Amino acid sequence: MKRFDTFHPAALLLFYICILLLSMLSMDPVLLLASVCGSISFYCAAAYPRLSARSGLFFCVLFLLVTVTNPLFSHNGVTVLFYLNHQPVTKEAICCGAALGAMLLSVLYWCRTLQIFMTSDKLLYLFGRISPSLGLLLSMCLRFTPVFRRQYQNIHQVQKTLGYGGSDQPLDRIRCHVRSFGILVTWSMEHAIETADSMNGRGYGLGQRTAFSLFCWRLRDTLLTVFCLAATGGILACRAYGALHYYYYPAMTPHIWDAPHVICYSLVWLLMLSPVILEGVETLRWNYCRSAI
Amino acid sequence: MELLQIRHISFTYPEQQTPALQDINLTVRRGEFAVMCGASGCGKTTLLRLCKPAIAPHGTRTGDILYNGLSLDDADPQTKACAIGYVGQNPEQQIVTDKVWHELAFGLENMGLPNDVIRRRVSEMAQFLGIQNWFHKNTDQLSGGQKQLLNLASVMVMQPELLILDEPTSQLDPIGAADFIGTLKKLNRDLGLTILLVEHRLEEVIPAADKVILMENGTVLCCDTPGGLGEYLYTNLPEHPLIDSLPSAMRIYHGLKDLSHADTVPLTVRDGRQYLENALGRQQLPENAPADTGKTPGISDKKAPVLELKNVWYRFELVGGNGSGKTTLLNVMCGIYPAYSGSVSYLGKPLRSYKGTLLYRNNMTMLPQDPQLMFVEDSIREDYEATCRVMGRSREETEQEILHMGELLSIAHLLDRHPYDVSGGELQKAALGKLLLLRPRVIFMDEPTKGLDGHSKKILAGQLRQLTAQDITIVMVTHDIEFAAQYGDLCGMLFDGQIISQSPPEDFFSGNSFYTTAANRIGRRYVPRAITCRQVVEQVTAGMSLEEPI
Repeated sequence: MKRFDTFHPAALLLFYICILLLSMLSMDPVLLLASVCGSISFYCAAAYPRLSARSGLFFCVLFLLVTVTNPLFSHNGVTVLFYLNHQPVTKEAICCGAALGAMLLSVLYWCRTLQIFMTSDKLLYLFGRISPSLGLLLSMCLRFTPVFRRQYQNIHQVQKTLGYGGSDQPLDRIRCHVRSFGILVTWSMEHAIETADSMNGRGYGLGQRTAFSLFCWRLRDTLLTVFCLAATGGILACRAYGALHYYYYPAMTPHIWDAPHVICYSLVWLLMLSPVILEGVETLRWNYCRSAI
Repeated sequence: MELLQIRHISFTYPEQQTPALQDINLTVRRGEFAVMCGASGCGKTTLLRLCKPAIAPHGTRTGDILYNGLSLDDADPQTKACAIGYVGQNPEQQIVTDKVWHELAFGLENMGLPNDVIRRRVSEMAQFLGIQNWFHKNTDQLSGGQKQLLNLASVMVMQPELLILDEPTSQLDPIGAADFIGTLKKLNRDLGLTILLVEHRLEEVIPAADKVILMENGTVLCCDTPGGLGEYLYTNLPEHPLIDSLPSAMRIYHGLKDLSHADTVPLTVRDGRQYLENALGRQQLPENAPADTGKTPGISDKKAPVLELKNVWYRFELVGGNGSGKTTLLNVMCGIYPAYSGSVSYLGKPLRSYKGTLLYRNNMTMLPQDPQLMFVEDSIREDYEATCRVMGRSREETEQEILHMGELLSIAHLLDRHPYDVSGGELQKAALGKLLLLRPRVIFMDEPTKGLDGHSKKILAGQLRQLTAQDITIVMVTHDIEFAAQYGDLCGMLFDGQIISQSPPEDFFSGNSFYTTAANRIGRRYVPRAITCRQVVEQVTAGMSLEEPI
């Protein structure tokens, strides 16, 4: 059980909206570094026993690719490092590329954790709040996709034992797939009647539906929300006082360490690292509790 | 007090000449467990659906249905939806949403109840029916039995007074079915729930029932206690197909009734044993040679083995419970899944050496659990034609063969129907026909008796016997012990991924003490080698007649 799993979907959604907005707010390297560190460490903590090196490698390559591609197309910047095909390659363009790559990387990693924690039932709950019938429709879609997939596999397998589709000719195989798909459609129409009966039998369409959910709003959801809003508000206020305005061209903005900047950066780091800190504290506490038994 | 009163109900479907129901009169009392049975197409389902207005069929109806003394037509829809619960046949298709907890709440959401009321009712029911362990699962991860239990629970959360069920166990394996019926008994006993159940698996249901309603051709033939129904059938209609589905204790009693009479008809194995003990006392019956069992002669003759499995190991990804690996074994045997190690050989050559579709033409084929999977065309005839084309037959040959198949399996009248419009037993026959067109030498069958009533099983067995007489080997995996005992030539038990024992059914079942037929469990003290009702009756009668002169 992960700590973040237990938050209310609305609190979770708000948290992710703040984080994703801030990650894309500015090209400031300090902010981007915080976002990348926060997202990757959080992902590692969230997916802990099932981390794959291959996907990590893929994201590294993606980052490098963006970093390298930018200076090939953008020749702005004052510090020329060398010439490639008579085109200048500048330090600013490379840094800008790295910043773009970092932004992409952090957003992707935040989304990967989002995928882990925003399970279908939480999404449905959020949609159900907007419109109960839309929520039900989505829930039914989620229900029937695996049913259809399995039925298709079964049909196809049985067709094989009957001597269809197992031959080496591609045309034969395609024909077999088309046939299997055709009967799948018939099958689903046929059985949709039973689903409709089951829905009618339980009083569907008699009046105003409510949307039931297992989630309750607890104190820690309030705390998370307040923290998110306060931190984001603070960061935006600092921005109004001149922080987080960062430019790469023609020359990179020098860092100034005045009050708005220092406050802004500390808030950013605090917010970006908060999920992994929460997760880490929880794991430590759990391990401590278990060892104490 | 009467909860449901059906008064002079007649019903005709649109554009039909003959009425589906004719002047039905029935009463179901509060707290009663009523079981309705009859051949397929006798109007059971129509009658059930008329009792649940939301899903009542369209057509012309005369007569009246009273619920709690008031006409159903006048009751308000909210009450009708809640007070009368309906569970249908197909576990998969009745589930609407993707999560177990959401499915449980679905009906209450429709009633517009607030969140905390729903939460209490859902948790209560989940606890009562033992769902809490899979409460958070996705509905597609459940086994068939769990799905049907979920359907029952999601009706029960609406707190119905009357529960109507239409063959709820026909798609379940016997273990899931027994669990489900056990749950129904518990609901009836502990909550006083009134149950009206259509069922053909009478062995388990009848002992729990207060009332059995036998329907035929749209009329009620008999409505009596279980014992009374047996009495009625054996005296008035000894050839009625339902007799094959009655509990073993009842059938043995009626076979031996002339020798020894009992005051109450035995319904369960326990009652049956007691009855035999009262009849026979301490005497030992002489060991007599088992009567002719009607099995294919010469199975033990040295014939070349068709299929050999050597040290086969298979790995399977466990999907849902219930996995002793029978279905997987079948799939390995017919080459759908490759064996993990070891070899499967067919006619002395390993399966792997049969390339492409060679293995499945003229050699081996499989009847899946759900015969619907086999049909892909718009009519059974078209499907047969397609199969013949695959086999490379000419047009005349095709026609002749289809004609022959229609006669052989007596399905000629069904050939032009859509495969989804025929009943389960008929579809099974049509599927068998399609397999036979491939001229197989080995047929694998996965639970072929699932969803069939006693009479259809008998017909299926007769057809299988014809096939074995033509030197076709049939390998069947089944939970249906009674069927295996009655018609198998060789039985084996698969447990923990191994075949534990393998022998002819008489030896196999008389050696087991739990995993054996109900008839054997009833009679084992006196006639240990008798495994079917007929054998018990015959052997006891023979033994008694030998005893008498002394």
